[in-house]
Parts: sequence; structure tokens; C-alpha cells
Amino acid sequence: MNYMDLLTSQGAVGMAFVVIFFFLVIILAAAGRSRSVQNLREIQAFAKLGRAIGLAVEAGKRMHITLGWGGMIDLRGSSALVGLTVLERIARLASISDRPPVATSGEGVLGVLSQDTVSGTYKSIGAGFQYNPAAGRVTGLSPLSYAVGALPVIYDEHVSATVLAGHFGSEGALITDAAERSGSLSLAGSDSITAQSVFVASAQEPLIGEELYAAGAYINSGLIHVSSVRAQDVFRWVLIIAILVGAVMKMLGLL
Amino acid sequence: MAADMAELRCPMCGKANPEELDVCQFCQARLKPVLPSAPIPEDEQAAVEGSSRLPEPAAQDDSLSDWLNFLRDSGAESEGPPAESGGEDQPPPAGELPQWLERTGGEASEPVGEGDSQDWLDSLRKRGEEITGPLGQETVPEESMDEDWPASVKLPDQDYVPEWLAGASLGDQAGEPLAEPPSEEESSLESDDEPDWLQKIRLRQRDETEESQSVESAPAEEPGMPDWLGEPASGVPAAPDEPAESVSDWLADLRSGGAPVGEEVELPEAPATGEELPAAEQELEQPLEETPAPPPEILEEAAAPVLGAAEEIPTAPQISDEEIPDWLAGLVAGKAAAAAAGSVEADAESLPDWLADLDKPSDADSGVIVPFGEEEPGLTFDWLQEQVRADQGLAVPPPESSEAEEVQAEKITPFVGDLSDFLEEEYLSTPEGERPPAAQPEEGLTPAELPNWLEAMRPLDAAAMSAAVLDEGESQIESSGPLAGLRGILPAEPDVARLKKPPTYAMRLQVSESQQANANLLDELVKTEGQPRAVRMGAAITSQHVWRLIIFVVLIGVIIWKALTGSQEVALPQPLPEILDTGSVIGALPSNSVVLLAVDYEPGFSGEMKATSAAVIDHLMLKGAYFALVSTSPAGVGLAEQLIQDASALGGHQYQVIDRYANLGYIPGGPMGVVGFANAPRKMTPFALDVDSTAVWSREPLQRVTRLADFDLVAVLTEDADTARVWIEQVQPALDSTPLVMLLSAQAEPMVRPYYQSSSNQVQGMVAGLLGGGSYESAHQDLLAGDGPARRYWDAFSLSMLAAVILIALGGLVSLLTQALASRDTSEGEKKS
Amino acid sequence: MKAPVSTAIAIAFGLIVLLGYFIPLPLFNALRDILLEWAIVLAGVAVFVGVANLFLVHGRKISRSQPGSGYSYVVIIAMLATIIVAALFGPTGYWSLWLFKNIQVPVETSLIGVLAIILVYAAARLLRRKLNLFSIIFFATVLVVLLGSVPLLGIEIPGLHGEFGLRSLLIQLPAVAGARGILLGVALGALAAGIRVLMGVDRPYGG
Repeated sequence: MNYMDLLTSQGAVGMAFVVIFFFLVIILAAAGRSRSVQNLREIQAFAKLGRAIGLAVEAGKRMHITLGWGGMIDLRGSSALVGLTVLERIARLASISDRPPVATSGEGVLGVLSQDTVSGTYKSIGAGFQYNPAAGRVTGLSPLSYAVGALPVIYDEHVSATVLAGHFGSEGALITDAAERSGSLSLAGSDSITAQSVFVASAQEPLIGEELYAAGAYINSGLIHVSSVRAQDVFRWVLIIAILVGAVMKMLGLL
Repeated sequence: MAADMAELRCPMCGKANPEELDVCQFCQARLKPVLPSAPIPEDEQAAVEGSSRLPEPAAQDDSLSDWLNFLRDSGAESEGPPAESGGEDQPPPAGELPQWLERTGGEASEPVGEGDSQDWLDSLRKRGEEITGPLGQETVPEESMDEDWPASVKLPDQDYVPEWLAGASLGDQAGEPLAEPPSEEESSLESDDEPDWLQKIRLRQRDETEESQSVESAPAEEPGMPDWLGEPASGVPAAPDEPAESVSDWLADLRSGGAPVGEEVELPEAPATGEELPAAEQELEQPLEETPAPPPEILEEAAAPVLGAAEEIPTAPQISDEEIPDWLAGLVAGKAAAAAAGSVEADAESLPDWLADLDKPSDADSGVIVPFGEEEPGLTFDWLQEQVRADQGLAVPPPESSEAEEVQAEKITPFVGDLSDFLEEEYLSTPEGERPPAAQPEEGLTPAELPNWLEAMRPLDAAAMSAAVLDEGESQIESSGPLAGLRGILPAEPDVARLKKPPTYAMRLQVSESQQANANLLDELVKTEGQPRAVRMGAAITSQHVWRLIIFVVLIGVIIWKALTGSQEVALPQPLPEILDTGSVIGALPSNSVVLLAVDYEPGFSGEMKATSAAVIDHLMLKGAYFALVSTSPAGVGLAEQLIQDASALGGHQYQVIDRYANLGYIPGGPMGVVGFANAPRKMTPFALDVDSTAVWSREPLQRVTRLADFDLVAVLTEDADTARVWIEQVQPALDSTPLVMLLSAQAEPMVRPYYQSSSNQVQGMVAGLLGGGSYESAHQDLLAGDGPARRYWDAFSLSMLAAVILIALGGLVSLLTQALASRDTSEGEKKS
Repeated sequence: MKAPVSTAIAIAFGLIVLLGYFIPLPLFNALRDILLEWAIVLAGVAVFVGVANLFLVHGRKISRSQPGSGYSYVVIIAMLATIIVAALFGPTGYWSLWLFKNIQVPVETSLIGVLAIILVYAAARLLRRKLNLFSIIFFATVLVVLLGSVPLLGIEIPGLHGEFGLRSLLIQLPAVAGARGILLGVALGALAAGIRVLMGVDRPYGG
């Protein structure tokens, strides 16, 4: 085995990228532990999310979290993981509501994971008896059927706020439109460009770019979430510098 | 009698005590006077039986008269006083005074004139000097007093006249002024003469002006001793002759109305309330301030027996309502008030001062202070009070009315057979306004010095006047009991145990305004919480519905119109570079090429994808390509099958499954499945999805395909940019020189174009959206006979796109105008405010 | 399964696949391929899990007579009918394709048509909902792209249409560039999410 080739291969660069990111998250988490307040850029959508949770509990209404139709075995799964984190947090905060939150998804694995997340959350707070398997449901196996299947949840189950966190397509506009018709808050974020463009026009609180991936940090899911957001910022600057340098080098004919 | 002599009845509690005791073993009151005095005759003991409220004579005070001592001693007798004292109570022979009354003074009474009141007061005062023990040494609890109140008092016969009254009447008949204060023997109650004290009072009244100095000096002789008791210089003033006859009449009436001789009359218990008393007594229990001064008639009538009415002196027992004589009832009704007022004036000149002052409202009558021994207002000592004040030159305090009402129900007559009852009635019956004013102290008179026990007997108003000389500890005035009106009395019970009206605390909670406001707010919140709110139903048709309807009508109207008309007026767009490149790639394919067609779009986009890919598929069919259909979505299998059949039908091709195409089915796992297919296509899709599940990999032309690079062309149909990127990023490295063409929806074009335009040239051709499909049809007119789906849809598509743009622009413009108007209204409102 | 065991398995398998991608060692490649094959199989099984979940949700809705349970009848009946037909005639059989072509495709195509109306309405009310510089730029870009997508009544406006028109420039330069930047951020976010799973911080599998 040629270790030099191994080290200079694309795989090695990618591995180094991952390892550095990993240690950077740990270092930033250790440094941020001493801080009492985590200074993060204000995102209005998450501020309204917190208020919406409180209003839902007070009004005895339900929170609806829809996780999209992206599976866990591809890149779309990352946004689904964020959606599950948001689901866990909302389930914990809104567990005292008369109507517990409900999660819908367009993929079987996401449906199972959403049920597991709600169940684990209730058990952790000692409210395991509150768990209902209908809290995590698959509403359709195709994007459009899933979106249409989520509409009755918004119209008929006293939903006060709908959170779209996952992989969506343009069909996400159907969900946000239903939320607007029912007078509930719609907070939408996706890793898909198409969905983001649709959410900008149709959702009340859209999450642009990678703001969805910062949801964990803004909803107090843990210190690691905050440090990972900071690591993303660091690496984003690294990439910006790398792109600029590469562009200059390309222009100069060096690359 | 002998038994009575062996025991002494306590004058305070009325309980029997051994004779040898000086102090009552129950209430610690003095049983024997401190000063040596004549023993109380037995006949007087019975007369004063039950008078347990008699003040205990001061041990060191010798100013008490013998009659008072007798009264006290008689109270110590056992209950069978009527038997023992039967002789005492036996009515004396006519014309003779009762023994007990005779003992009070031997001098005959004389008509009362001016100054006579002073005389008998002086006599009383002197006798008081001989009596030991101040008053009010110990207050016997009212309960014990009430309990020991003699249950029965033997009333005398009809002709019985109390000695004290008999002595006075004799004195009156004699017409002589009261002589000097008799000696102890003369003042004995066993004397058959007129009571000395009465005589002395008369004399004193007469010599009032002459002996002003003696009155002033009287206190020096005996401090605290009223003149009328300490200096019996003058005799008991005599009652006028005129009233004597009328007095006799009423006395006779009293006797006739009284109980038969020897009959024991159950005296009621000490009246606790006025309800238990007869009407006459009830009237007498009026507050002091309301107690009217007895009219002159009563005074005269009272004076008559005092001054010498011989035969008939009432004992003044507790008279029931039925026994009240008519004259007395009339007096109670106040009938003679006016006449009395006139008669008072007429007879005022002839009446001694003390009698003339009787009809004047006294301080005690209207004052707060309740005189000693009486919870009934307006008893005897008012006139004495006035006289004392007059002697002392003290102003008459205004009447007080507070405490008198409280003690009204509990007033107790100090003496049995008190002459003052009728006086009270007359006084009370007189309206307050008609009562003569209180007597003003005369100038030049020295205030009398009262003995302590008598001082305590003074009305409270008089005591209040001398409050300046009282210690602070003596400021508290006893308001009930036999010592009512006295000061400096040690309370029998602690203050906390005294019966008094419990303090009332305000039920209102002390809250501040802010607290009240918060409480009100909380109350409103709680109230509204339980009140169901009417759910405000929104309007059935809102602006949202209107806008959506307009957009639908416009768009669908344009499409239907163009579809129905079938117009193809709008020219297809000019071919774009990517379109041309795609055409070139397909044109360069050999015949019977094997094309991998990945159908990864959703059924909803089949319309657009059909219009986008129809020309390309037809071009490939014209090239005789063999299609291997795969899909990474479950619905792609059916879409791929439908795509080939529609394209075949549209282009007039006879593409049959297995022969011309093989549907390899669904590739699970998303990107991982694509990678796996790229690495081992046969392994990922071993069979075709036909009915026979043909193993197409063993058949031509797929037999020679072992890896993706063996395909002649890879075309990906997708509406999702991510799917396109997956195919590009995961499959293209394994394609080597095999071209990759993307047939995309318009929404995925921006994300895929960089792959096409990059130098790496990962995508060799791209057809995106209806525009790309139309452009491809435009570039290949021979395809689909120039009537492909893109051509058919182009007019409707372009017109509807224009309509959408117009609607969006119009909506934006309306929004801007609305916002501007709203902001202007807000600014105007702010300016106005 | 206990959470620590699940976490250990998840971390171990994730590291193996990660190392297999970056380190071209035969051992890691073999393990990676095996694990990926397992994942592919499980993803296929997940489709059945989704179908089962869908069936249970609507069945529960019917049993409890909840509002909208009538539609649940339609869903279950249609599901059963499709399964039966596809089982009998195959997924590419005539009747299977007939159901697909005449029911599913028209339904979903109609939904896309409704989506078009919703998006037009959303664009029209964008400025009313939020009026700021970003929304104004977005609004203007939408209009330009739409206008440049097709010739206006067959007339291509120079500067708007064509390869070098405004539309092409907007799509190719700012749109694509912005999309690329977003994708980079999404990639970093996905990396962070994956790191958190490998660290055991995010445990969606927690029971």
C-alpha cells in the first residue's frame, strides 16, 4: 500500500476534513461550557417557534411537525435528523398540552423514528403513559401523497403551528398553504433549494440556507449543537477562503 | 332571736357569720362597725333584712348613724327574720313610730322649711361620724348579693310605719325644728322619738345660711362626711302641713295596697333587668339623666311621713303593677308633672331647700355616674347631692346619660322600704324638660367633707367634680354593683373577665388600591375563564378565496381556451446549446444501442416530463435504441412503462417489452442503490418486471452489459435536482466515456446546469422543462411529425405564463398600494394624536 | 434495545462506512459494501413499514370514528385493491398500469395544478406578507424569470430572452451561485448532523 498516495487521495482529504470538524466541535463545546449565554445570531423563526409552543399549550392545541419524505440513508437524512431533533424538543416542551404534538412523514423509516423519538421523550420525562403510536404517522409514500395526507392533520386536529423540518420539494407549498388557511403558524426549513424558494413565498417563517441545521442550537437541544453550529461557521469561512484562493489561482493559471 | 343574736348576717353578701367575727368569712366585709356604736336593735335588724347591699361601714369611720348600723346588723340575721324580727315588723301601735325608725332620731320632726334640710343632714352627718367603715370597702359580687337577696321580706301591717318615717312624722307633727344632733343614745334606733337625723336635717336646712361656717368646718371634723350626715345640727326638716294630709292619704293607700300583715311577700330577686320589676320600679330604673325630679307634691308627700306623718308610713316594698295606687300610677304617667311644676313653684317658697331642690334635675339623675347601691336611676340622694353641692359651692355638672342606661336594669334599691321610691317615680314621671334645674351652689358655703364611705356613695358626677383631688388610680368609676359610682374600687375580677361588649373589628380587609386592582383583575380573569366565549366564525368567503378563484379562472380559462382551439400561433423557442448537445449525443449513438433510462420523477410531473422527454425518446427510438428502464422511486416503474408506451404510440414505434425494452424495476436505497447499481447492475436488478420475470441480462442486447460503462447512453429523467445530482455524482464516475444526458423539469435546471457547463463536462446534454422540450422539437422537426406534446402545450403554456406574471404583478402592486395607504393612515393618525 | 447498545452499534457502523469511503483499504471497502447492502435491504423493507404504518393510522381512525374517517375508508380500500391487482397482474401488468395511469397520475397531476395556483397566489401576496428589500428582490426575480421563460405572445424580447438574456444571466449567475453556497452550507450542516450521530449526541434510534 502506498501510503503517500493514500494520504494525498481525495479520501484522505475528506477524512481529514471530517476529523478536523469533529475535534473542532469538541473544542468549541469545551470552550462554550464556561459561557453562561451563547451568543447566536437571532433567527426570528425560532423565537416565534418558542412562543408558538407556549401558545399551543395554553390554548390546548396541537403542534404539528412534518419531517418530509427524505430517507435516512442519503443526504436527505441530515435534514430529517434535524427534524427529529426539533420533534424531540417540541415533544418535551409540549408534553403537558391537552393535545400532544404529532409528527408526519412521507417515508417508512422516518415514521418509525418519529414514533421512537416521541416515545423516548415521554419516557425520559416520566410520562410514558402519554405516548400514543399515532403521534408518529406516515401520511403517504410519495411526496405529493404525503403532503396531501398531512393536510387533514392541519385542518382537523386543532393544530396551532406547523413546523416543516426535513426534505421537501415544491409540494411543501401545499402544507404551508393549509397552515395559512387554518390560521396557524408555519415555520418551514429544508435542505432542498426548490423547497426553500417555495417556503420563502408561502411560509410565514422560512429558514433560508442552512438555518435549519442550526435549529438544535436555537431550541436548546444541547451544547454540542451550539458548538457544531460554530464549527460550521468556521468551516464556512475556510471554504470561502478556499474558493477565493482557488478562483484567483485559476485566474492566474496556477490551477 | 337568740339564734339571730348568735350569728351576724353580712351586710354585703347577706350570709350568716358567727357573731364573734368582725369580718365576713365569705366576702371579707366588715360585720361590725369599727367605731363603737350602740348595738343595732333587733327590731331594726328585721327591717333591714335582705339589705345586703348596704354598704359596709368603714372600720374607722364613726360617722354612720345608728340606724345605718342597725340596718346592717339586721342583715346579718338568719332567714327567719320575720319570726325573730317579728316584733320589729309588727306594726307599732297607731301613732307610734316603729322601733327601728325611732332609733334613728328621737326628736320630733317639724315642718320642713328653709334650712331644715341642712339640719337633718347635719344630724345624719354626725351620726355618720360614729359609724365606722367607709363605704365601698369591698364590693360584694352582684351574684352573691343577688343570691342572698332575701327571698322573702315580711311586710309590716297596713298600719305599720317605719320608725324612721315615724320619727320624722312625729317631728313634723311637733312642728319643731330638728334639734341638735342627738347623742348616741338619742340617735339610737330604739328611740321612740322622731329620728334624730330627720330632725337634724330640718334644723340644718333652716340654719343653712346661718351656719355656713359650720358647714365649711364640718369637713375638718370628719373628712369626706356629708353635712347632712356629719352635722345633725338641725333637726329633720318637717314636712309642710298641707301635704301632710295628702301624704297620709297616699301612705294609707300604700298600706292598703300592700300585703296583709304578717304575710310574707316573696320579694323578687335583685332585679337584674327592668323587665322583672313592676312597672313602677321599671320607671324608676330610668337613666339618671332621664330621671325627673320628683314633683313637689311627691316631695311634700314624701316629706310628710318623714316629718311626722304618724300613722301611715309605707314600707315601700316591691309593689307589683296591680298594687300600685292610682295616685302613684298617675304620677308615673306624668299627669301631675305640669301641676307639680306649678305647685313646685307655688310651694317652693314654703319648702325647705332640700325639698325644693328635689324636683330639680340632679347631676346624678342625668349623669353618667350611678349612685351607690342603686342601679335604678333617680333615687334618693339626688336631693342630698344637690344640697351637698350647694353647701360646697360646686357647680352642678351637666347631666350625663351614658352609663345610666347600662345600669338601669341592674339598679338595686339600697333600702328596703325606701322612701325614695315614690320620689323616684314622681321625678321620673316628670318630663325632663319640666324638671326644675339643679340647684346652684350658694356662695360663701364651704364644701362639706364627706367621709370616705359616703364619698363613695356620692353620685358619679359629684365624684367627677372632685376628680382633681383623686389619684389617677382612683379615676376608674365603678359602674355596677353596690359600689356603683365609687372610685378607686379594686375590681373584683380582672378586666379581661369583666363582662363587656366584645370589641368589634372591622371586617373590611385592609388592601391598597393596587392590590384591589390586581384582585379585581384576577377576579375578572377567573370569571371569564369559566365563561364560554363565542367562537367568532370567519367569513365564508375571504380575500384568499377570491384571489385563488381569480387565479384559477384566469389560468384554467387560458389553458382550456387554447386547448380547445388547438392554436399553435406562438413560435417555439430557438434551440439552446444544451438542446443541441443533447441532439448531437443521441445522433452519435450507434444503431441498436443500449440506453439506460432512469425514470426518477414523480407522477405529478409526468405531464411536464412527458412534454420535455417525448422528442428525446422518439429520437432514441428512431435510432433503434434498447431501453433498460430503472427507477429509484417506487412509482418510477409505472412511469417508465407508461413513458415508453406513450412515446411508442406517439411516434408510431412498436416497442414491445423485452424485445425493445426491459423494465428492470425499482432500485431501493436511494444514492446507495445507485452506487450499487453502478457497481453491479446485474446484481441490483437481476430480473425484468415482465410477467415472466425474464432474465434479460442473459439475453441480447443486455447480455454484453456488465457494468454501467457498457451502456451506450445514460439518460436520467427527474424533476428533483438532488436526484439528478445523485445520478451525476454517483454514476458518472463509473460511466467512463458513456455520455450522460439529463432530462429535467424546469425547477431542476439551475442546479444541474453547472454540471453541464463545467469544464469537467459531467453532463453532456440537458433538456429542461417545456422550453427545452419545445426547443428540442424545434431543432428536430422530423421528430414526432412536428406535433409533439411540447408544440401542443406551447401556446397555452406561454399564455398562461403571461397571465401568471400579470396576476403576480397585479397582486404585488395591490399589496404595495395597501401598505402605502395603511402607513399613510397610521401616520395621519399619529399626527392627529 | 437498550440505548447504550443502540448507540454503540450506530457509532461503530457509521465509522466503518465513513472509513470505507475515505480510506481505500480492501477491508473497509468490503465492510462498507456489506453494510450498504444491508442498508439497501432495510430501505426496501422500510417501504413496507411505511405501508403498514399508513394502514394502521387509517384503521385506527376508522375504528374511533374520528372526523374524516370516510376518507380513510377510501385509502384502505384503494390500497388493498392496488396490492391485489399488482399481485395478480404484476407491477407492469395491464390493470396495474391502468390503475396507475388513470388514477394515480391524474390525481397527482391535479395536485401539481393546484400547487401552481398556490404558488401564483403566494407570489402575489408576498409583498403584502412581508415588505422588505429581500422580498422585493425575490418578487422582481420571479417576474423576470417567468417573463423570460417563454416568448411573450411569440415575441422574444432582446435582453430578456435568449442565451444571454436577463433570464439566463439570473439563472446562471446569482441563482446558481447562491444555490451552490446554500448547498455548501447544507453539506456542512449534514456533516455536523452526521458527526453528532457518530458522537452519540443525536440518537434518533433511542427507545
